[in-house]
Amino acid sequence: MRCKPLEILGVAVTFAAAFLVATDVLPRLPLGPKGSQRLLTIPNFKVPSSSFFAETTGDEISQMVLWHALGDSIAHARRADILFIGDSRMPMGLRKEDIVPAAGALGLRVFSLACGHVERVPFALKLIRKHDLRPKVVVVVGGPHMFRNMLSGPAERAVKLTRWRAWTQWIEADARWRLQSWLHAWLPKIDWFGRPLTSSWILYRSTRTGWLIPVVEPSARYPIGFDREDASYAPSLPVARELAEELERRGAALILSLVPYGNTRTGHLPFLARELGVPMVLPSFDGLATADGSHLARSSAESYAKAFWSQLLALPEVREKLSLDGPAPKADQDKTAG
Amino acid sequence: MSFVSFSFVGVQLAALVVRALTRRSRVTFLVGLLALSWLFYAWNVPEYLLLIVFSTTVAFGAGRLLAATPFSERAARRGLLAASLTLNVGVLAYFKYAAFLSRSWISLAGGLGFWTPDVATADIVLPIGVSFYTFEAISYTVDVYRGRIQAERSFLRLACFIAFFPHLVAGPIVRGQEFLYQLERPRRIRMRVFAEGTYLVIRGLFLKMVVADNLGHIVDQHWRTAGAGKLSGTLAMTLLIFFACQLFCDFAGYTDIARGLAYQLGFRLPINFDAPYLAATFTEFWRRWHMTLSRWMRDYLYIPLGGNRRGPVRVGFNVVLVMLVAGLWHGASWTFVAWGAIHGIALLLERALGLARDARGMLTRAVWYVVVQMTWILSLGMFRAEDIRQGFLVIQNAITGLATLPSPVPAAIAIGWWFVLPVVALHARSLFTERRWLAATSGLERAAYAGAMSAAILTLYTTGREFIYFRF
Repeated sequence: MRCKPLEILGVAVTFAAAFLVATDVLPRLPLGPKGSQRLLTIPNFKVPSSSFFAETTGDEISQMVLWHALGDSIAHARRADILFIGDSRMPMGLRKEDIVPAAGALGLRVFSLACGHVERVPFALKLIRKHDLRPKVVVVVGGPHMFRNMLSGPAERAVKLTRWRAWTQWIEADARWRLQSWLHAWLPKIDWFGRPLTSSWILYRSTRTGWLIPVVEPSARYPIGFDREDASYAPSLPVARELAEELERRGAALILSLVPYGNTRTGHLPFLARELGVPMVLPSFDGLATADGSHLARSSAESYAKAFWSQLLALPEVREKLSLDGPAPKADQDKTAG
Repeated sequence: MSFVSFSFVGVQLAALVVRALTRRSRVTFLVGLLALSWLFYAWNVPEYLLLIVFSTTVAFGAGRLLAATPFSERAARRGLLAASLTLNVGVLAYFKYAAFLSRSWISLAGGLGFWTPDVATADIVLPIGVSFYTFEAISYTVDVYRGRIQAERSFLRLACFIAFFPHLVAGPIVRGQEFLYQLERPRRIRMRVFAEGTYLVIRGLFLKMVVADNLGHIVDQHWRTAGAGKLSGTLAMTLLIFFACQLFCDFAGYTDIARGLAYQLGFRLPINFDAPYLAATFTEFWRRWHMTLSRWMRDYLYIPLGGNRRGPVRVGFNVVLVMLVAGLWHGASWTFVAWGAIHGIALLLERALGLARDARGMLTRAVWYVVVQMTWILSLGMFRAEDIRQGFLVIQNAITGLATLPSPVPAAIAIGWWFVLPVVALHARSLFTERRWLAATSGLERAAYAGAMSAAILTLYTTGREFIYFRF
């Protein structure tokens, strides 16, 4: 039995009418616990060039992409002169737009291995070994927790996956996010269970530089706080020493640094710098604020990154490794230590 | 690969393109279909493709050998059948039950102070869909043995039958006589059939992504509390009702999607659910719930065991044994054995009371309907439980809830009743159609449902939950 054109038209019109009515009526219904139906949308944003969606509410994809060398991120990491290691505070405090052009002006290539979900040094060390990364300088940016000998949840899962599974999960997550961000820019997602569609951050990751790039971020300002410094930093030493030895074998200089956060501790830096015999960079925290109690606000990041970069370039070890000619620039702050 | 994934959309689109481009070449179409089906299967663990190829090869080889052996040589035919069944059941037994059996043995023998083997079976990953395609391979071989179908001459066609991706990982369990003939001459795809398939896909996605997954969210959040006996009876009963609806929508949703996708490619798959929550007897329930499994159990296990023909004691034994096997088919765990036992005993009781027959008084019928549905809902406490103890606690809690005055249900749980409404509506529509109070759904009615369900899918979906029957 063939369909007649009029019948097809009738079905199409009925479908469209029912769809439109339902999309209009469903969000208006006083449903949810005590009528608490929430309508969620995803704000419009511009996708950075040469980047992939990294995370908003779920697991971060970066660890999977870096561990399994998906896409061309690791190829760029192999060409980097300076590698940055850290957690999510690193790229939010030392932002791509502040560091990468400054490095590029000197003909230097930088790459960030920093990952969210409180990723620590052991994962970066695994990446360096697995992909045989040979940078000239490695900067570890983070608090004492960076040197705990453990992997984050996403990293644990990433190293257990086969490359094939990692690749399929990556394309699934990417396609799902693309569809969701397109769909919920115009059609709200109805939430009855208090499950957000996005967090206050939407992060992409540059494949060329490895930097996490916030396309949506909170705009609040919280003051930088400081935690007590009476803890022993000796437990940080084994991981720090393992990294230092590995980098020495590879001919890279190790630099220690920090991006301040809500309950900053800095005592590990002089301790580890002294024990390992490596330099550290610690610009002043004056006037800085975080956007969410943990990550530096954009305006604070700009001034902090500028001070950090000038202090980094002032280090003789860095100048020597990077073969930077000419006199060292005057460091912005006085906490650069050898 | 899940139906609710972008990779799968790619596979279905590729299958439609292959279908469109190979209208004149059946073999090319089947080669494309098989390649896509195997890709679908190998997506998660490529190594397990070897299993399905093995299973197909065993069924094909046994079929060809049976075809070459005359019916007069009964012993030889039986030997061939036994060898084929041993290999296919062996694969299933190893991957699905080895860990369970070794754990059970270690627990039992260890408790009695006997020697226990040092075996490492805990790491065996259950190949997705193994229960489904093994049963299909077995039914094909048995049907050839019985002479109900001719042995397939083409390995390609048999492989397409067993691996056809819409039904591969969670059914319906298709038989040779229902499907093989469709592969010999794939039908021309007509707009009406394609639209029907699309409607089924939308309905399936709605049942899965909107109803089952949202209910699953509530059930998952509170299950352990219920299993620890820390929820009121009313809440435990509410959770069980939600789980009953989740399970139905999850599995019926999968079947709808499978049937819809098959329609779009020009094939027909059997229905698997027929409004099971309308069933007034246990016998009727199993005619409406997972119908292809029930039929399989009846034809390939119950009837060979003697069926109804060997006296009441033997019939009782057969019924309980079949339900225990059906329970174990769902999963290698004592909770499933207990679940099967509950239904085996319920079926026996129904027969003993003479309630399986249709002609009964209105009141008896209504009371028994409540008993049947309550038994099903309570038994799901065992089906969903992580261990026997948890299952008993949930059921005990829920029975307490039935026996006492209802206590208030927190708004965060009560919200689930909104998602029960589509299940009620679906069953009410089926009831009206069965009683001829309403005509079958028309094209326009379906278009209206599809439009509303599409809107609900796009706004009320939940992601991240695998189909429950993928575990089986």
